[in-house]
Amino acid sequence: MKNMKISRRKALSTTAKVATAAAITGIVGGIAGYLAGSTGTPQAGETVTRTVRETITQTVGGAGTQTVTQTVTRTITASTPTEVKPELSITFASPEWLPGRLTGLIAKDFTTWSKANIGKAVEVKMDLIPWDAIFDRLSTTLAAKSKEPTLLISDSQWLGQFYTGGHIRRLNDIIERDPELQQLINRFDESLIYFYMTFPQGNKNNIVGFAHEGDVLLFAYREDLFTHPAERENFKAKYGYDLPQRYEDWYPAQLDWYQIRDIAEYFTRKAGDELAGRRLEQDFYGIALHMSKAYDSIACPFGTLLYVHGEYWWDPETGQVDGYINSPRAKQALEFYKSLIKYSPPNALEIWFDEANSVMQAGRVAMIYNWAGFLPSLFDPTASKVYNVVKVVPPPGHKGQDGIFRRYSNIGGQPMCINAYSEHAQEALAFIKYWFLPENQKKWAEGGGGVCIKDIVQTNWFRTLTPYNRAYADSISFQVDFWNVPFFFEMLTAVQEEIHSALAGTTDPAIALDNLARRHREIVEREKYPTAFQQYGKPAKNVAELIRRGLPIG
Amino acid sequence: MGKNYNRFFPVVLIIPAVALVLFLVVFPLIWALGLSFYSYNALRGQPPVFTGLANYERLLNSLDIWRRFVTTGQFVFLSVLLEFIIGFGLAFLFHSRFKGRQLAITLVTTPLLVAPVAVGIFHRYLFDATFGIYTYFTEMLTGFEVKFLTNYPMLAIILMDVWQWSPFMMLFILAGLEAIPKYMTETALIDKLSITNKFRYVIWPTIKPLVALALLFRTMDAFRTFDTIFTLTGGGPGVSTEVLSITIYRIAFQFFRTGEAAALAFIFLIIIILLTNIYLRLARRE
Repeated sequence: MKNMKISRRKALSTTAKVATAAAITGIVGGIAGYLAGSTGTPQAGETVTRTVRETITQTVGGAGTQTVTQTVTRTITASTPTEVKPELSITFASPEWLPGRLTGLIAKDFTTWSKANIGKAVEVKMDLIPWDAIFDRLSTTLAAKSKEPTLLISDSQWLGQFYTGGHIRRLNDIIERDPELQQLINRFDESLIYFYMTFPQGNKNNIVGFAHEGDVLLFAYREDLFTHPAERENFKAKYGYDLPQRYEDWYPAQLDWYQIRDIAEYFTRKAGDELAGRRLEQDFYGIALHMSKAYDSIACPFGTLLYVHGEYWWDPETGQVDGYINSPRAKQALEFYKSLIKYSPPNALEIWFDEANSVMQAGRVAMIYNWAGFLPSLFDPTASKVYNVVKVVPPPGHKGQDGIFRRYSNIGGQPMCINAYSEHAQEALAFIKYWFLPENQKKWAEGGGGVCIKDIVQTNWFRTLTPYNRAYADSISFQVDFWNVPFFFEMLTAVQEEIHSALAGTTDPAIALDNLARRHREIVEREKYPTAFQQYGKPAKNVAELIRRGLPIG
Repeated sequence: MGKNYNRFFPVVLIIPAVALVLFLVVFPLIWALGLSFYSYNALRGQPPVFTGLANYERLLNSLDIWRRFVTTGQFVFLSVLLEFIIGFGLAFLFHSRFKGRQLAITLVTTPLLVAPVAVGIFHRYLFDATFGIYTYFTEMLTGFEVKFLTNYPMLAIILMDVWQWSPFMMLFILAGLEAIPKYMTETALIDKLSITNKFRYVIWPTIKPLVALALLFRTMDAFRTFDTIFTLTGGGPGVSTEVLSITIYRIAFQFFRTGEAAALAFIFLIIIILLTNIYLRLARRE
């Protein structure tokens, strides 16, 4: 090292050489980049086709189990977005899934539209966040009073927490001043306004979001099995009634969840048994529905069963819990939910949307109860062994001991909200108007998005566009949600933990619901609900009362 | 000038590092300690309310929290013990020379390089009761359908941790074995020491400090395990695998009871410091 002496001249000379080389590389790279960019830029007025790629990690069963990652592609057509140079960028935070990517594609044309309609070229940049992390990311970002994202997707149950914390904007004043937005409000189904757009639920004095991605839980079943003559005959001989065969046998017919259990029992077979004239090489299961501990995986299907048994989580007006979630009807609902495990795949307690799809795609289950938003991959020949024999229908109901047939299902889906700290609320509102333009809603529907505008949803065009749109359209009216109060996550976690314990057999179902009621009561008392939240008004209707009486919510 | 230069130059050099530690470690720690005496919800936007020791009192009186301590203790004890045993075995295996030894060591240590979240996710597939490969082989060998994540969730999280961290133990112990002077092993050979005595008088004294260090590192690390368990079981079924780090995360970032989460984190920290001190004292006494 001592011998390594470098003269000042040599050092300067070397530095100059390095700088010159870097400058030349930069210039050459810049020219190349410019040329490459120019070649790739579509000309004005040209129509470009963009592809949304949905990656599905699919587990293919068999003797040698393997995990295969497959890519499903959807194509939507959009006009050239590059005519106008953006003057302003706003961020739209969304879950990282097909609707999020599709939103990004539709948003590309907003720059041109905004220049023409609000006089400012605004670019909407998507911030796609995995589902597992989005609540944490958004809540911490909003707690830090960050100005971006300007627009954000909020799961319906987050609305109370975000709104009471002052993080998302109340939109009533803006809507009152804008006839276009007033008209838009009238185009949503009442149940979507109730559960996606207001806090407290249904209270139109606080509109805090616009329905973006509609989603409902639907039944997907194997039509080839349900219509097989021998299976139909054997089923009728055993249970005394017919297997549902047509869409109308599921809806509007009053198919009962207890019949679903019969069907699940009937189709549960062992390897070596015969199914629809073929010898089974592997075990076959009757039903797969969500029972995993993750997020709201249990709360949604159990919510459905609770409602069809004539019960609700609590009294949303008084916050009373006892006599609701631990009532005999609730206990019956949980016993029923647990009884389905016998006819489910062995991984029943880990099943969420992905696992339910996997077992159907592998051709090893007769029915699944899953989110419409995740059903497209069932119809993809590259991902599903049964892509051509799956039908989608609305969920069944249940006729209680009081003789009332109740058909309710727990809603999914999300609204889009405006960040209260953003300085670009006007641009965000412009985007909302742009989003609901008929041509964009058409693109949204064609790409597989859950349209929330009722005059589109009820058209024949929409209902026949995908294998699941008809069931989605028919199901919107009987959707119900759980609490969207600021302390929802604690309520939700208690549900997931207690009911998962009951399903796993570590707690008796009745005790689990008593524990749940105790935990919920402690949370409600600590939070001083509803007194501490009176300033926000109260829910528009008493959902618990309506469900008990078997009346519609919307 | 020279005297002052000699005195202040080292101070100038360490100022950036000290400043970083002060701002990024010490200050947040003191802030969090202060917060633990308040009732504060970071998402509600309301000012913190001083509640004194109420958070600590509530947490220490909570049966649920003590259950989480027991779950955490079970997980740490069993996984570190198994990692130690397996790491020990592997280290002795790789201490002997054989063809392909270097490649085998590389392969065995690969799990250390995998991101914990990825480890959790792919173990979810491996343990899956319908399609999982562990389930498949277990059924093939025993004839019984084993639902790891439903019926043996603690075993599942321990096996996952052992899969990832046994090589860490192995590396430390192997380093100790490699450091034994050749003359000592030759002397043991000449003196015809039995295997037990060779281990007791030659091997163990040399590798003991490294084993203690490896156990200390792993124990502290196992206490704060979060991502692998969170992605594999989410703490379930029910709360049967919910370790304290998951509880702290839920209270802090899902329930946003920020003051309470800070208090629980400090209780956890104090317990780990105490355990570490006991551990070090025992190691020194040995």
